[in-house]
Amino acid sequence: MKNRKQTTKYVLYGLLAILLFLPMIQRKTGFVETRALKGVFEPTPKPELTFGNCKSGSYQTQIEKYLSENFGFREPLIRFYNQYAYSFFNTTHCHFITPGKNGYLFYDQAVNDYFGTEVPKHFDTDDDFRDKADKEVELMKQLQAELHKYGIEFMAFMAPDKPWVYPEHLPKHAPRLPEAVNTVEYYDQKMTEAGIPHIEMTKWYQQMRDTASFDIFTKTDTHWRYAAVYGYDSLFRYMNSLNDFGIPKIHIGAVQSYTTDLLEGDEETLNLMFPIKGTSTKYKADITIESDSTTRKPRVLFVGDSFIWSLETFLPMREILEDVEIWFYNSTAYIGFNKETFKVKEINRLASLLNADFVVYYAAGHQWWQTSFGFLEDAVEQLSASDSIIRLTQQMNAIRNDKKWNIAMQICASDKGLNIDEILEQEALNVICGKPLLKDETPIYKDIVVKFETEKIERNWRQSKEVMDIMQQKSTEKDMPLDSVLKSEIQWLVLQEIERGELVFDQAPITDTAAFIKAKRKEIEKAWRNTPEIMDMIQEKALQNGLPFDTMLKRDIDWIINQQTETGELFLTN
Amino acid sequence: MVFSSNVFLLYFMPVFFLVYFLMPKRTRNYVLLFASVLFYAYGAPEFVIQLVLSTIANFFIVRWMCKTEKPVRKKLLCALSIIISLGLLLYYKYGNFTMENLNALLGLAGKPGLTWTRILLPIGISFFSFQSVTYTLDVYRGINKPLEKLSDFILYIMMFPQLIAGPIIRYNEVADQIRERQSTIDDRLQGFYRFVIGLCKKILIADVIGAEVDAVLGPSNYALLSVEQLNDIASRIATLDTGTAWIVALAYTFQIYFDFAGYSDMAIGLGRIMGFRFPENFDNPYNSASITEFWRRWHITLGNFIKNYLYIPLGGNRVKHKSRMYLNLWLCFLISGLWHGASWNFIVWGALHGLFICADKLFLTKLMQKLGRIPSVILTFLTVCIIWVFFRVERLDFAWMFIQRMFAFDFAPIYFSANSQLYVTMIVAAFFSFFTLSKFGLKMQEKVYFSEFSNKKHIVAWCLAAFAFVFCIAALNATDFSPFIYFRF
Repeated sequence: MKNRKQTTKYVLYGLLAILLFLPMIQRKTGFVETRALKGVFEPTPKPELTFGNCKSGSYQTQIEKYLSENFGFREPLIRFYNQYAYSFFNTTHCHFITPGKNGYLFYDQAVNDYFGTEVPKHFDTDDDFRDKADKEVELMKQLQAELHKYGIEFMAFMAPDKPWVYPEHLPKHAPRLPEAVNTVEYYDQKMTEAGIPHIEMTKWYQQMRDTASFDIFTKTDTHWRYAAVYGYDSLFRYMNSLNDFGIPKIHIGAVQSYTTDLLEGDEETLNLMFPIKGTSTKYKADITIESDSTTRKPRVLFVGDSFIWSLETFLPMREILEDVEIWFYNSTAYIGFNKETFKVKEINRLASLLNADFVVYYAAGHQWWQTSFGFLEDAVEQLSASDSIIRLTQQMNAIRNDKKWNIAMQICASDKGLNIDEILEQEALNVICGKPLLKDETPIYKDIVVKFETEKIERNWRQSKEVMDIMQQKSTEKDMPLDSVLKSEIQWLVLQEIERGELVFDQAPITDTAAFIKAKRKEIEKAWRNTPEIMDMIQEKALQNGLPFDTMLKRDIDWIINQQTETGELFLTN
Repeated sequence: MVFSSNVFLLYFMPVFFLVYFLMPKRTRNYVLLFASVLFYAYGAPEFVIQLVLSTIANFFIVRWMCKTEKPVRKKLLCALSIIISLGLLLYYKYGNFTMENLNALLGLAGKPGLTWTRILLPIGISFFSFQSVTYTLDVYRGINKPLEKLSDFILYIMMFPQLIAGPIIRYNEVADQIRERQSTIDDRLQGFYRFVIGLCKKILIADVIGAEVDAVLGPSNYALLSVEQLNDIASRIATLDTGTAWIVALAYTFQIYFDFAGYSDMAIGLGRIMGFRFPENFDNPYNSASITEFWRRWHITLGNFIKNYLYIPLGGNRVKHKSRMYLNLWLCFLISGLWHGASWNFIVWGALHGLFICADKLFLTKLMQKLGRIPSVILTFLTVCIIWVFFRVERLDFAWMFIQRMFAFDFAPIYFSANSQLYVTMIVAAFFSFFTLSKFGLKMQEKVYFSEFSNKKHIVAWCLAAFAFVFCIAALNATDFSPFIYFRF
């Protein structure tokens, strides 16, 4: 009896030991598969142990962080507690998200703005806010006038705020003070008075929320999604009315809804165990673009917040715009449809401003007062440059917008180890001063351009952790080496660029066709003879056709050469 | 390293206990000593050598003191040992405070201030300095013989479960246990349960409430804040409505109790796993019917230390004039306040407690007895709650402003759902704080903390403790993991 009593305790003691060591075992072996945590966070690198950093205590701080982020079962444990906090207290630890009633999620600053508590956090008095707003509208007016000198339109676009559209789902809060300043209304009024073309979307969405066949904002997303299509449609129509550029017309078909098990954008970041609701409703419509091929589509520079991203999700931007630049919070610049990424302060901002047909200042209403992040002041200052600098910049833009010339300049910059802007400036000076042009010295034959573009994309991708993670995932899924996946993906992208006419090149001059074909034949034969699989295949074909091996090989090479000659591929790749 | 950290819970503790219990009994003290030095060096690498050296010096001074026959030399050696222990405390803990005040005085006199490089406070110094003093004085008074082995003495001072935040263990309470102790299977299991109770108090109650207190009052150490941050705190306090001010004060009252009591529970639990029986540090302090009773229940080991090593040597109750006794009492609390932190708010906090203790002796206890137990407990609790403001708010002007807001009778609606986790946690904290006012509560506490467990009880307790342990680790990590929905910059 006594022994049995002790045995139970020893079993519990043993289980306790297992419990304590389980996270370490899981970390080492990963014997249970866990769901990764979502959201954006900076992982802590493993610190190096040195006497100095140990003595100063920095090693301890770092290793503590590192170990906290890398122990077994961390992900399910975090999801478990998050679920508890969300289910029982309707709270989340995710930055920026405030859970509302009935499973709705809101952006925290938008909620504060709705209740009138955001402005007091940043300004001593409401008048301080009004002063800032007045100064910003004044700057917008100045910028508008400066841009007009070069035929560029400036306009503002205030995306809607979810709390104003769905106030009944907001968390319980002290009622909005009647005297609290309404930031959106104030800017709207001031921009109207200043004659700045702008669209304020919240009011419109408030009106359509009960009649629309779709949700303006889905429950668990703080950003607008499908409803954004109508917002952009209005934006482009308004842009056309300001400057008849011939922006293609967007035709939106009947809205269809469908359900999916996939979580909506911001819900993922809550890292819960179970979805807030079983499935989420999404919307789609057949969107057709009616384009007038005789007029050039506009180039647009967007400066603003995250509400811009739905544009590329729901609309075929390439069919609507000639070119696009997005300056995210005036901090990161995403240039072109492929979103080459730079720091705004490191790019030629004057060139970007002058290259645009429209500059659209863009944000959700609640962040309007803080979206600029120095953009307005900087843009006005950039445009106050001397005439010669403006002329030089415009010439640089002209070169940039000529596809072949631009590619030649990129290759030239790469050959000379210079920055693209430096080469563009040099070439623009050559044009202005009538000197020989660099483009005439830089051949852009297909193989050169393709090689250059391939290397450029590879370089960019390898620098992007996000892209490399996707490639790694594909490599695992396809069970192929990472480099092979990367190579094939880049090849596909380059072919797409060629097909879309974004990657252009000259045809190489052909001097001696017979000699060239002979050399090509030798090249193919060498390559094939070095590939046992091809050799086996040809051997098999030779046996099937009752021909000698060499004859069969020659026939196949001839066939390939003929094919390539017929399609023109052989000569293009010269 | 703190107990409620991933490094301790997931790495240090499992590995330490594995090694400790795999080693033969006679070597376990060395394992514990090594782990304790490592534990301290991890948190205060620059101070560990000084701590070890001062401990070694004290060990030999006390041995010399024991061997010497001459009373004067004995006294001198005793004083030297105490000076070493308290000298470190005075230098590290009160150096900055003394210089700041001295320079302020010089400034008032129109003279330039003295240059002084700020010193960082080594963790746990207040505790191990006092423990060292108890060893010296207990040996000097002949209560205990000195330890034979240096390693045992270093272990007594540096034992990691109680090194950082107590309980302050008098030498005579563990002297025998250091030499010889038994760790039964029940000790190991019940020690773990006790540790988890402490962990829950700290992570699930104190930390949850503390986050909300910090949101209003800022971090507890104002010395590191910029002028702008201090202005922010001042403006937040100035605009508090009375309801919120009381919620914050009550929240802090629970936070400090569950934080400190939780840490003591963890220390006691860890000690018990190894077979140590550390003294209890808290006995439901918020059930006290007077401030005097509060101090018998709150931080008991500090109260005992002050009584045995300060109040009694000052004359205690056996003084000619009652006024001297009140002065002694008040001085003891003043010093106790200063022990908690080197700043004026702690002195005011100690002084106020001292005043109430004197008032208790004069008339308050009798008055409270007339009121009855429950009203006395409520009044004492509210008094303690108000005095805690001086403990939490480091700037006296801010503390005063906060108390003014508590009595401004300027109420605004409070929305339970806006901060339901705080309110629910406070209700839970209140429940466990006052649970033992009932006989049933006391009986339950006795059963959970002190009685022997049957097999059935062990199974239930193990399951609860394992779940609570996992839940605490989940809470600890989930609250630290705050991803962004996207990168802004």
